[in-house]
Amino acid sequence: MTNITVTELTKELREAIAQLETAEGLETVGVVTRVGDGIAWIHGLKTAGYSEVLEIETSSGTVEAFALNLMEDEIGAVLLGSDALVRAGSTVRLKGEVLSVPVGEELLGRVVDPLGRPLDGGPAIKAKQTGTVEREAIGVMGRKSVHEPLMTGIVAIDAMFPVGRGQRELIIGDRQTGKTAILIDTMINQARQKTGVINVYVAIGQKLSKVAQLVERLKSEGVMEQTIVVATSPSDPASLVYLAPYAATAMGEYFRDNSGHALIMYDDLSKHAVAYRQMSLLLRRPPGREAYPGDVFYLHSRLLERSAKLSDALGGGSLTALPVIETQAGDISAYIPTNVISITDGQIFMETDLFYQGIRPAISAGLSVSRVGGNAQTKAVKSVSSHLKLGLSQFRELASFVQFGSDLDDATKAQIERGQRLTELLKQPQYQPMGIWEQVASIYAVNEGAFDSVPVAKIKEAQSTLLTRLWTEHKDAMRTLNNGDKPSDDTLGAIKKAAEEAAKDIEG
Amino acid sequence: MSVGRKLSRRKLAGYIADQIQSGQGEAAILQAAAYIIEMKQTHNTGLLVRDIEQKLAHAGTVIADTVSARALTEEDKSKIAKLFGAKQLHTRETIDASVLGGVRVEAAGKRLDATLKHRIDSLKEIDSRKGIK
Repeated sequence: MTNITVTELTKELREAIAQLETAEGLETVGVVTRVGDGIAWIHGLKTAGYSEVLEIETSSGTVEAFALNLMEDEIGAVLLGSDALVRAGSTVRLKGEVLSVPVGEELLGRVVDPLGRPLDGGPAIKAKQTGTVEREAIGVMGRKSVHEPLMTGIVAIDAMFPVGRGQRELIIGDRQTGKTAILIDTMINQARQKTGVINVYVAIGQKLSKVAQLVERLKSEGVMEQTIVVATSPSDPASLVYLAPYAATAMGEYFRDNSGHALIMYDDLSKHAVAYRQMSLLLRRPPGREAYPGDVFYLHSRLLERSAKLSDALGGGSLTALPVIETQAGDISAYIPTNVISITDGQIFMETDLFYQGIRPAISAGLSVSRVGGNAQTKAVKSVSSHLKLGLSQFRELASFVQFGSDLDDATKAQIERGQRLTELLKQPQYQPMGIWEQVASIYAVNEGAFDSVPVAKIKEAQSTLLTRLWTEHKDAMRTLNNGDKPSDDTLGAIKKAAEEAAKDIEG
Repeated sequence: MSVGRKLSRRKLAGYIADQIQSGQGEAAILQAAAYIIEMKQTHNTGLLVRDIEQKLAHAGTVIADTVSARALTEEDKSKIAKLFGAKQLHTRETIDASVLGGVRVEAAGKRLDATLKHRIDSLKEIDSRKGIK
């Protein structure tokens, strides 16, 4: 009660007494019978509810846990703190509430753990509201179909696999294929394009050095002000790793429910499933395929179902999810990848081969799909990218034949030439998301054959020249194009003309 | 009760509680002790006792552990009996000056902490929580 004025003292004291009085009386208590590996087995507490918070009394204060196994005469509870202090025989009492975390704008710019405690060395979070970690997803009538775009700033995604607000689009691929890079670029794009979308990045069992680098990058790009980072490290108890995505979703839901738009990135759900497997095995639940428990599908389906586009009656807010799954040797038919693929509204598959060929982002055109994003694609991008995915897929098929050196007809040669240029164009350096006008102009220039005479190695140079030329000569038209409306014939004409001139500059 | 057949702890507790209430508690406890040793369940004795106490409490016989700064008066005991809904109250009393005043009672999975120490600790906890919220 430090730093309070004398006038506040009476109020503080009255409040404290009121809280004390309500806390008094008979309370139900249990006793810890066994403890170990972050799990405590408790005798008694017959009235405990699923996921209810329990307080275990120790010699150095209380340790919280939450009830996950409710059995006839025993409760299996997962500890939220260290199990070193908890002893067999410790008294346990019910807290009378399910697990909740602070939510609200106070969290913006902060790095917190799954319980909302700051990890960035800043002051404690003084949020006005809390949100329950486990919450039922919005029902059918509370939803609206996905129709607004969520621009990632990555040409290959926005043009071929567009993501809409409220969509769940999986990012899947082996380690070191650029999955997190896509997430970072998407976050940066929300700030650069001033979309007002709040980013919630969840590091699930990620190395803290990696999280620190990410936060530094977000700060340097000016994105952190509209971002919440929920971080757990491999040294955290499995319970915290398990809670991280649910807690972060509660934080994202605050913005969704207040007519805002939020983007949540789960990096990654493979580690989340592993943490849940650990907890389940320690709780002696029967193991199933790959030793995961039977409800591992429900683990992710109930999480991702909370991402939604709300109906106008509920304010029209949205929560878009970009879950990440790490595959082993490109095997997307493993248990967890197939589960999450079936839950989400599409996936962006990152290929190791493409990555090492220098095609970055290494997005596979054949295996990636966006099931609902087409309705949300901006008219501007849609007008120029309708055949892009098919063309690129066909090119990659043909390219494998070319390796055998067989004679090709002119049409096939032309298709390969165009495909090579398109592939080159879709390469994009990290931390450089593109605006709508840049994407439209680039794709249109290649589609119209304006860059056909430019050597493949100089396509990026030609693209850069084109964009500079357009920005200096047609700034207003490009600004209009950036609104996302279908480009006028005049604008398209100007782009084509500028592209041909850029091509000549490069050739010359 | 034939030794060798595995019984659940709850069933065993129910049997002993019934026997205690019918006045044959001593024999039942001896039987149960033999059974526990035979079945190598001695590590569960504490839980069995808790279960028996809960069964007894359900039937109106409450065995309460009390901690207070001074010895409990009959009036205190009758208040405790009323609070726990006991027709018959047995107490295991501990005198501990560190609780400062009041009484802490624990019986049949329920606890009442009306000690001064608890009140002071609760005030401290509310204060520290205010720092977070």
